Amino acid sequence: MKKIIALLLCFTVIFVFAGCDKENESKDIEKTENKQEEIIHIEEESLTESAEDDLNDSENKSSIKIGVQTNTSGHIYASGDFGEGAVVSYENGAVAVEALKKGKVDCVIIDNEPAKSYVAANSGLKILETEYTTEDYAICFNKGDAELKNAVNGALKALIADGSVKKIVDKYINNSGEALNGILVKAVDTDKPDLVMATNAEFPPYEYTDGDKYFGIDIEIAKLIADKLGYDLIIENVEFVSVIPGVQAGQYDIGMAGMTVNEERQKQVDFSDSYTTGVQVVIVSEDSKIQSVEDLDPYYIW
Amino acid sequence: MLDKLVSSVTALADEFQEVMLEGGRFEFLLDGLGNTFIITFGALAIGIVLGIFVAAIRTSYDKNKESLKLRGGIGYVILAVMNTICKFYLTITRGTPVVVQLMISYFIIFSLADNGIPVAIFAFGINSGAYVAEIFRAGIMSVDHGQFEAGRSLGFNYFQTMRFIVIPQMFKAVLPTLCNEFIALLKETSVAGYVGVIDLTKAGNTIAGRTFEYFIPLITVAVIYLVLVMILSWLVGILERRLRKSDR
Repeated sequence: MKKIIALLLCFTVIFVFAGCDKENESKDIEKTENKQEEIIHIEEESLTESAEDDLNDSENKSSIKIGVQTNTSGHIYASGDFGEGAVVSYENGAVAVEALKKGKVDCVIIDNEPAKSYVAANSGLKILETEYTTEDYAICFNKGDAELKNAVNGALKALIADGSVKKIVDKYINNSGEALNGILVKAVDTDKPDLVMATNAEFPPYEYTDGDKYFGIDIEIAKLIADKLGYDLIIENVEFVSVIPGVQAGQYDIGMAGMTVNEERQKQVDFSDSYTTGVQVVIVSEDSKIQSVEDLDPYYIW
Repeated sequence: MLDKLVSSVTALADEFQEVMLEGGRFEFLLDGLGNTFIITFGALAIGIVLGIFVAAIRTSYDKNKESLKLRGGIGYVILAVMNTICKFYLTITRGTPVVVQLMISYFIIFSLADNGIPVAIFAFGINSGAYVAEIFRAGIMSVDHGQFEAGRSLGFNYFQTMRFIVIPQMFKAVLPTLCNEFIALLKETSVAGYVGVIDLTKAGNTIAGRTFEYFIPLITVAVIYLVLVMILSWLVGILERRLRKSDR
């Protein structure tokens, strides 16, 4: 008998959990203003509560939680500036933005262009006006492959000079209206030699998939370079963290994934000249207590 | 030959020093290890409790449904309903990947929680519970029905028979499989990084991302997991030998 009562209790608990879930969902669906306000109110409450908790727990840690994508330059900068304890890293930018929407982090530090796409796709988010930092994007090579590096640098120089690179950047970032040239995911084999490029096609507008094609600034620039040098471009879509090790191991000829040049990376791989500049920005929810980059941390020195 | 070996070993040691020990990176890895422990043991506790409940319901239904059906009444209905719920839980939990369950827990069920660790404990606990339940059920079913009948004819009621005759024998039978499940759970927690938790794998990955040196962090993480699993199997081995003492 006791067992049955215990079991009934157990299932009541489970049903209560299930109930919570439904309530949340219905709240999300019913977009009446009252409900929205209520949610915001609850989120604010939990935010301030957790912030207070953090302050009580540890004096040194920042009270702000910053979402980033694992091992991107945003992750490296943020944990350098605010400490590991303040940074929550996610597998990709979309997950980090989802966490921001749910109030799990207070802001997301990410590259400008994907940030724009995320903000456009999610209402209630905005990008802070001041940028967090700027950086150069470049193609990476195996240290032993100086020949390829020089060839690519040459091609890149010509493409920058004749305005092709700018044209590509314009059509993805400024919507210049020109048609996008995708590359089929399933590569067509020709008799030209292969140029294997590692990328992480989850980083619009630099690289992403749409239907059966890869699109993006990096993809189109790589295609132009490959055409110029007489290669067949083969794209390998891998995790961002696998790009550098793969290039180092000689699995891929080049790595091109919106990759920032920095000292640590230069120890591992060689970089081409920069083909575009990336900007790291901060995404926050519209009603956030963070309204400028300076709000991120009172102790942060610019 | 020997010189070469010595020099390559010292080079590796230097690299280890540079990659793992500088800038408190090893402490970072230990923090990750701590989180892996917390998640594994928390999930283990939830899993075992949940597993016992589910296995108890499923086996009592299987063993008693005929007699209860004959007797009629509310008891049979309750048991049948609970059995269906348990089956549903098992199907859902075993039929979906643990990463997906983890993400659902983090973003939908506990969408207001800002700390990933309790969510990970919950998700892995629920997941592990399903497997543990089936392990326990197999154990209970494997005990000869004669044992059960003997208990009943000695005057024990159903619960006493279970408690004193069946469960002790079951425990010995399921121990190796249970140990297997614990090992699998320990290694499964390596996906906790998906919900922003710094566990052992994520810590190694972060160090690799920071230093762009993949060999040493990954090997270190692998060795730590291996040592943990070896310690775990050793402890279970001791327990198994102790339990076998009464065998004749």
